[in-house]
Amino acid sequence: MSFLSPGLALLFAGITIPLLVSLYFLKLRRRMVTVSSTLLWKKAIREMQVNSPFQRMRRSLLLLLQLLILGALLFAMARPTMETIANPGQRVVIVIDHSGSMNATDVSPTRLDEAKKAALDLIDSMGAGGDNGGGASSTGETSGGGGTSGGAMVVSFAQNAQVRQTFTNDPVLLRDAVKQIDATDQVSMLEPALRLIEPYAARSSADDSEGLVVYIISDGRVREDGRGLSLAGATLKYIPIGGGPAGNAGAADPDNVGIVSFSARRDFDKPEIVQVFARVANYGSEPVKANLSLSLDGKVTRVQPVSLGAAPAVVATGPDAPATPTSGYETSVQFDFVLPGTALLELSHDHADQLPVDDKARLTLAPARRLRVLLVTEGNAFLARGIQSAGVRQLAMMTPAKFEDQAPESLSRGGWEAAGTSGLAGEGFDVIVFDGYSPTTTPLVDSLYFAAAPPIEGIRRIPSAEEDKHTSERILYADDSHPLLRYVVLDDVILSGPGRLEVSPQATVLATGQSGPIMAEIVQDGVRHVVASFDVLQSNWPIKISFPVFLGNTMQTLGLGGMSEGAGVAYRTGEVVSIPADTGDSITYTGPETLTVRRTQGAAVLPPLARAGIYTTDAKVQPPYDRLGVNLLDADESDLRTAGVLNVSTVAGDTTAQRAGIRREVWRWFVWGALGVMLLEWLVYTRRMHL
Amino acid sequence: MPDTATQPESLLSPSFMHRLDRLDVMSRKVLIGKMQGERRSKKKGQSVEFADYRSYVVGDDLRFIDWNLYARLDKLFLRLFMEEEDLSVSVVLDVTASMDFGEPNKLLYAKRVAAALSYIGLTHYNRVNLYTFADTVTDMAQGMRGRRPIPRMLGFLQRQEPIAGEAASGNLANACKRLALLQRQPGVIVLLSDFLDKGDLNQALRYLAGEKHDVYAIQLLSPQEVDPAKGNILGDLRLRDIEDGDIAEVSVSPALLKKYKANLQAYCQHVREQCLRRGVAYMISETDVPFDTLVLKYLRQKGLLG
Repeated sequence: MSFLSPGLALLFAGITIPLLVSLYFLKLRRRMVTVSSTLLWKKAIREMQVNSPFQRMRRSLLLLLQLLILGALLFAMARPTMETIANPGQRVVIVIDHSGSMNATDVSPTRLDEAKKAALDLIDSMGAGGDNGGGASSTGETSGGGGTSGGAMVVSFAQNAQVRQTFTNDPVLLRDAVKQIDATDQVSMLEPALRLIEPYAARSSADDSEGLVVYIISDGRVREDGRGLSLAGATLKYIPIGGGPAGNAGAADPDNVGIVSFSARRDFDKPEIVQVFARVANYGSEPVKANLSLSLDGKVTRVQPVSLGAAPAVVATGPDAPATPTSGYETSVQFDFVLPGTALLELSHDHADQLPVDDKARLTLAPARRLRVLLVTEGNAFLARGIQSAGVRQLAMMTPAKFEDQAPESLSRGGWEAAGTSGLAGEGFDVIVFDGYSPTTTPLVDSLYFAAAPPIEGIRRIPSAEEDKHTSERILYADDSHPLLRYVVLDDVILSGPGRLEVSPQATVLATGQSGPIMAEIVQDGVRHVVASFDVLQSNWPIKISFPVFLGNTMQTLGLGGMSEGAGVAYRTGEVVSIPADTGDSITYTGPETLTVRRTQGAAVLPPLARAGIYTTDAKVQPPYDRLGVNLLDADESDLRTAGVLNVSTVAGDTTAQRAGIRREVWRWFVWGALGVMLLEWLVYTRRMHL
Repeated sequence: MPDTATQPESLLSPSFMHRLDRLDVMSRKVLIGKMQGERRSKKKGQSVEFADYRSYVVGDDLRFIDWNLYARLDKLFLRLFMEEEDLSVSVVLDVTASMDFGEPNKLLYAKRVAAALSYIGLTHYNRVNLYTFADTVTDMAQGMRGRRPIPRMLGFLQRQEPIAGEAASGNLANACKRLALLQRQPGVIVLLSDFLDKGDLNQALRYLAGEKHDVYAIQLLSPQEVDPAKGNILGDLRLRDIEDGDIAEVSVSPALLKKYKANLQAYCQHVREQCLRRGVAYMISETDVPFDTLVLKYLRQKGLLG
């Protein structure tokens, strides 16, 4: 602690303290009372002084209190200051974790509220630092006048990071930004937040006058990708929130039982048989007995008691974690039942704990269904084998002539059957593959074309010129982020006379050859057409590993909308969900939060889901997309024990730099203290005067 | 505080006087009187009550020889009779400034007690002497006997005022010394005082005590002295001694009050012990005790009145 104007206070102390003392001793107004004799009084006083060593002190208690009041006021007059959180010119970044585990109630009311309170305290301490500069503006960026910090920034992170407020010295804006941070049920990913801060840290480390202090307010349960977290050029400070051995004093010991994994699949041979798998873990320090309830469309069908041991001191997570539970703190459960149709499955446990979000997990079970594919070709064994290896249950082959005889409607399956297994044979197809033949009418089923194109306006195949038929081309570019080309390596594929595609802006180019686009996707009336301009037989692709991978991707994506066959549909918080939708301009989902998205190109893409729960829509979408089960399902988030150390590597800065510290004036404390003592003094005085 | 000490009201009401008529001053000792009175004397004398025989010696009054006994025994014996004499009752009143204190006022109370005792003494033909003292004996009315001097006695008491000035400070030892010289005749001495004297009480009592006098000490204290809280003695005060003007600066706290009361009790005990050591009968009374109760009940219990 130091003082801004000690001289003035000393001067006043020199005047007032002797004055007070002399007033007390010399000028105490005593009421004159006549008594018959002072004999007994004097004796009593003498005895009191002799018998009680503290009598003199007690008598001068009022003086003591008055001196205390005066001292506090003189201290206030000296304008005491305390060093606060940042140096002059230093910038502060407040990073607040609002992941799922921050909703835990082991600190009242929740960890997130506690974190926000800690952040507001930080802002307050910085805000008070602005006083002595006298130049801090009330809004917007400041010029960073003498004594003020370089401002503060507020960043929140869960699965993604977001800048809530850019650098400013205005505490009002900073406080608003902190207050507006909402709870989410997502996992904690600190990496994106660090990447957001990195440019500022790099800039501050380049400039000697500024430093960057990053306060990470979190429970420390952040996920790493194995490479470790790092932030160069900044000073990192971790403010742990929540209970546990390393947590806040006074916080309750974390007690949480969480469902950390939940999935369902249909039997391979008998799709009506459903197997549900779940893993439940106890992260509390006491063994727990709980009942797991599985409900189908709200009706409880199975209840299974589970007994879980206390969590070990360190729970291994991440890639190194053993696949099977090593101790009794977690257990796997399996439920088998027969359900051909669709249903909303919900698994919950009845142990009352501090994190409700992982007490339930839900998924929408897709109806039983088999993938049926029609290959229209004059004969292509490579393609037929490739499709069959892609997990297709039924592959039908047709010649182009026969295909033209079919009515287009008869080839369509007409969506999902509620009955599931009905229509096993002869009732249309999920995907049609055209090999070297362009149909005359646009099929009503998702289709894949090799050396052919559908009769659609936006796409046209231009065969290569006669003289170029035997020139070999390589694929220059492939969009490996597209679901069809995921894990498909096309670098070593050589095409002979592939031709090219003429595509409209509505189409998505998937791959480009030397002469232009060679693979594209176009959606018309909700039907997807994937067009390749080359003939697979005129390439070495069929003998490459990428060929069956591509066919697998295509069959799954086109035929089953990305779902593996028979599995349930469930999403995790933070996931971007694409809803196949044929009609309507926008889709509104209601649930823990209300989401409205516009439909584009036959799909509506929901933003990253913040809260877990069930989202339903009245819009016309295929089941199971009318009910979306969104879960946390993350062992890291369910483990509420606050991490004592946050491992983020920093490149050490210039440690010899002098830390001047922000001077925060604290004279108000002394004034309040003086008022408090004054009250005490009044009490003592009145107590003495009235018996 | 109203100056009640000199209020010209009657010290004794007629009805109270009538009640006092039945009482008499008692002495625990048989004392020698001066004149023939109603009280048995140490001397053998001429009353009708036979006391004893003794052998005749030359010079005895022949009228007191028991001739019947001489006839039987052939020896001369003298018949002795009890002598009845008067009793000297001295009421000594403290008129120091400290007596002019309290509500009811201690001096007025003392004057009333003195009047009652004097009245009783006079109605039984005792020799009543009144003395007042401060630093020494300041006033006196001696040799009153019979009912006739009652107005004189009351007038004497009524004109007594607390002593002001330098003499206000009492000196009990000096006063007792002077009193011993003045009161040579044996008798009952009743000392009415608050005994708040800064001098040596033992020495003072020494002058009065002895075979000669039967001394009663009545200590009078006002309620305000017994419990200062009743006298609004609270907080930071400058206490002035009413007698010598001595100043004591006190911050009156509950603890100090407690200590004061303990001291007062100890002081009263000290006075009592000193009195007992000198054979002086001691009693204490607060001035809020009704005056008639003190006279008719407590003084009778103590044996002063009977």
